Amino acid sequence: MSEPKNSGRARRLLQIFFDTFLVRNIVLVKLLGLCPIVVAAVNLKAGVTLTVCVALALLPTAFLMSLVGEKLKPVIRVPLYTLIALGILLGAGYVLGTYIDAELYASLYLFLPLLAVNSLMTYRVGGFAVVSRPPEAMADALGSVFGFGVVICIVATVREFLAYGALWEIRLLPHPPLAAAASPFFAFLMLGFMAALSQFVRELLRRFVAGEVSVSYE
Amino acid sequence: MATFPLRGIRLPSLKAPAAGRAVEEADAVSRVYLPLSFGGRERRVTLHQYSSVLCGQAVASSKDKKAPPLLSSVSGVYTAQKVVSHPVYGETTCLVMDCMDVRRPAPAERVDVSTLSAERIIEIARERAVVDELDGRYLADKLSEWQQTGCDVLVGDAVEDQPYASAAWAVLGESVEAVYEGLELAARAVDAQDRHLAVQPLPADHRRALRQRLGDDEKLFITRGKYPVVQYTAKPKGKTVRRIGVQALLALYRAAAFSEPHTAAVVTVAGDAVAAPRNLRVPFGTPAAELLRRCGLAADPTVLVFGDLMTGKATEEDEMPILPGVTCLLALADPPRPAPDVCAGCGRCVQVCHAGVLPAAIVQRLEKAQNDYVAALHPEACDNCGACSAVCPAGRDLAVQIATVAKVIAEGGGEV
Amino acid sequence: MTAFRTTPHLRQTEAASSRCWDVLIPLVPLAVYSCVYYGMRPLYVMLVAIASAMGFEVLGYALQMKRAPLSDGTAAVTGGVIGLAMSPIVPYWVPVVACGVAILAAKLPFGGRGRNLVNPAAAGLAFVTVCFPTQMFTYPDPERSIADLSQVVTQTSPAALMQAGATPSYSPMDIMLSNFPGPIGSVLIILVACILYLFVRRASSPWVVLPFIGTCAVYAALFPRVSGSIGFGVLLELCAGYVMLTAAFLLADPVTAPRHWLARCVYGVLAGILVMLLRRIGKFEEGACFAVLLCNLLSDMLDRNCWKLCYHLPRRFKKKQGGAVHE
Repeated sequence: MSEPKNSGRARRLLQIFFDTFLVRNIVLVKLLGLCPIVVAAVNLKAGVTLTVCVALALLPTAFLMSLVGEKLKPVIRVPLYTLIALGILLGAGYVLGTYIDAELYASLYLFLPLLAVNSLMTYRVGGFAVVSRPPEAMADALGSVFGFGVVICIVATVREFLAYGALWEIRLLPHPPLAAAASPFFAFLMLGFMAALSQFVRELLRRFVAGEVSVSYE
Repeated sequence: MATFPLRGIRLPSLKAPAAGRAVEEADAVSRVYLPLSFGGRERRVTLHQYSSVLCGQAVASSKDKKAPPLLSSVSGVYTAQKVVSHPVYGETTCLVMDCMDVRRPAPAERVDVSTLSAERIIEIARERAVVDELDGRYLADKLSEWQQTGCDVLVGDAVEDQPYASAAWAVLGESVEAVYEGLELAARAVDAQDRHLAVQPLPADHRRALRQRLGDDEKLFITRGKYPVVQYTAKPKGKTVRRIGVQALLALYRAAAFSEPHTAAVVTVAGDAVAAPRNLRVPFGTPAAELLRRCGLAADPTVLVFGDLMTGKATEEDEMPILPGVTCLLALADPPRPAPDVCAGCGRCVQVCHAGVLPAAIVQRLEKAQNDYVAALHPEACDNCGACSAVCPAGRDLAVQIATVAKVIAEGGGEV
Repeated sequence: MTAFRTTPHLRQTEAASSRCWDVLIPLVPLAVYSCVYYGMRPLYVMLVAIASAMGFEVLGYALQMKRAPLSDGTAAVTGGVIGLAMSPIVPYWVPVVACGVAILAAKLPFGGRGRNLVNPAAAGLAFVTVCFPTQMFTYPDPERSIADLSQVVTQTSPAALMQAGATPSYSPMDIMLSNFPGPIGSVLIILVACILYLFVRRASSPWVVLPFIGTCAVYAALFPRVSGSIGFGVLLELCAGYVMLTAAFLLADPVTAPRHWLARCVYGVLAGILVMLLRRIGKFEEGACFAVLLCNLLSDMLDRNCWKLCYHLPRRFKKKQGGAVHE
């Protein structure tokens, strides 16, 4: 993340956002947060719900963490933020189950609280946000949310279409073309190919815009 | 080292034309190359340029008192120094001697060798610069080392388990009695209880003739095993087995009995590009071209090999000298090799590896740059016998790569 | 004098294509034998599978802007093995999908021939088993012709019967001659001949195949699923489904099997246990492809650890005894 100081701040924030969103996609490159995608993302609705929940949990904790910074020891910091995220997610789950869609909540009930202890949270928020100022941390968190959201929505859409012949629970085909798409192995296959594709796109970008996009392999 | 006696490969025997012929003396050599720092010793030239020496006279000496002198292998004139990149010994500074006479001086009066002490035998080996052709080390160094570390069974090694070489057979056929005398001397020097000559399963009539000349069946041991695993003695368990080449034993005997310096090697000249394969006795340092000229070429060779088919080193230059330690010179008209294929995992390399390592796995790790794991697979156990590369159906250079990485690990570099 | 050569100068290099022909040849009698019962359709299924596998190979390499090395024959072998595991009345698109997954998902992304992590044919079969079990496991009655697909009389296969807890009533001769509803390549006698042929041509290793078959037999003898004599139960377990096909072509594929002899044994035994367990508690009547996939992933680990065992144990033992020096 070493950028010359004279470049504009907005540009830098955008850079962080796209870096986390595309170049080092949280799911496809760092392979974090696979569990909800593989198991729970069988329809688009679930995918969008999970994305919103991640956003709800990730953005405030990242903000809080960048404010406090390294004043708290890691021993206290990590459990504390996990607890905060868990509280938010439990609240979100309650709202979802009571006011929005009880059926959807039933299909997701385990994965909402599980998101709080997902490696996605602890890694992303615990690492970058602690050593950054709030705007950067927020840009990074937003990038994470979008990265996660785009992948989970693509996987969920394809699986919903193949396994149920439907989109957003609107039936498009009389017979599902591939019922087995709802099982986890299909999501793994898709993630594998998407990861390969993202590598390919990154390589193309690196070749054509050499120097413009910061690509750092960790 | 623990080895797996069942492993190894069966090699074809291509000795036929050369092995049936008696050793021939080289009659004319235009020049020879004498390696100045042979045997790991720094030496200084004791001659002036263009001064002449006789065969067996010292041309260079070392400050190290234990270092054998460098003896001239021909009678001739010292003309120049030249650095050659020898396929076996690498970059070597050589004295170039223009040869006037390849004949060795007439042997001195025979001396009784039965009363020589161990120290005296080693001293003789040093003074006459006897070199063991098995590994190109001075015999005096080996004997004094074994005096310290012990030796139960001393074997006169005439096994030659590789396809072409037959120099040791030829030497045995020429003078097996003298070789055995040499073995007795060496055994006395290192205080070995058991001693015998070891040969490959020879044709029965050869074997009978050798045994008859030796007079005792115990003196000749017929080895067993596939390349490169050789059982040199009947019961090797718990014993220290040491080997000396038969040419060195012959040279040791002649040095002790006739004060003759060790200045010539018997070399098998063979290969599919050679018209008349045979065993030649040539002065040390003779260029390969002279040997090939003597035997004639049937085809244009694509490659010259110093050593035998499995472990020999290839070169393109025919001016490279035959140095002590080389007993085989091949001129091959091989068709070009196809590019190495990917590993199909057939596992033949693992089957044949007598050192018990996983050649394919080591090379796979190297290719994937998983360098941390390579050391755990013990590539240093490999003795570079080449069996894995020979059997690989994909034609991969396993042995070469393993030897390279083993060298890096031995030099202390954890990173490859 | 031109080319510089590395040691050793003795090589036993074989062309890759000749090695693959060794595997392709045994496929022929199996397909032909199946035609005795079912007419030409099994042959068509095989040809579709082989052609589609080669087609996908061309497609996959075209995506990378390369020419497909079809002459090495690996794609054809993958297609042929997939074809053999199909039912004679399978719709033609099922082997095509299986070959697509095998070549485009299991083989080419890992770098193609010699670099694949799992056996492509096993991966393709696993995919269609999970996705289209009905098409995969619907077998015709071998006594009747299948010329008209709409009139085909289907029968429950012995593997399915055994899974349901029933005992199939076939004579041992019928079982050995594959006179029962089952996949194309399930005739025991020819499969045994194929296995022996592959041993002789050194295209597969007895260290894998024999422990695998042995484990399956012992398991079937110890925990029989059918009533009747033990021998009959063992025979039935080995012939139903594609256990022998797995032994001949899928499991012993040298690229994905371990190299070390002990690792190969362990690999075979492990695969045998998994195959039999998957039959007993699995969802499908035949789960051999899943067992192969699992064991493929373990093979590198097995190689390393079995080798360590063989390498270090004798040395440690020797050290304790005081050690003998052998130059």
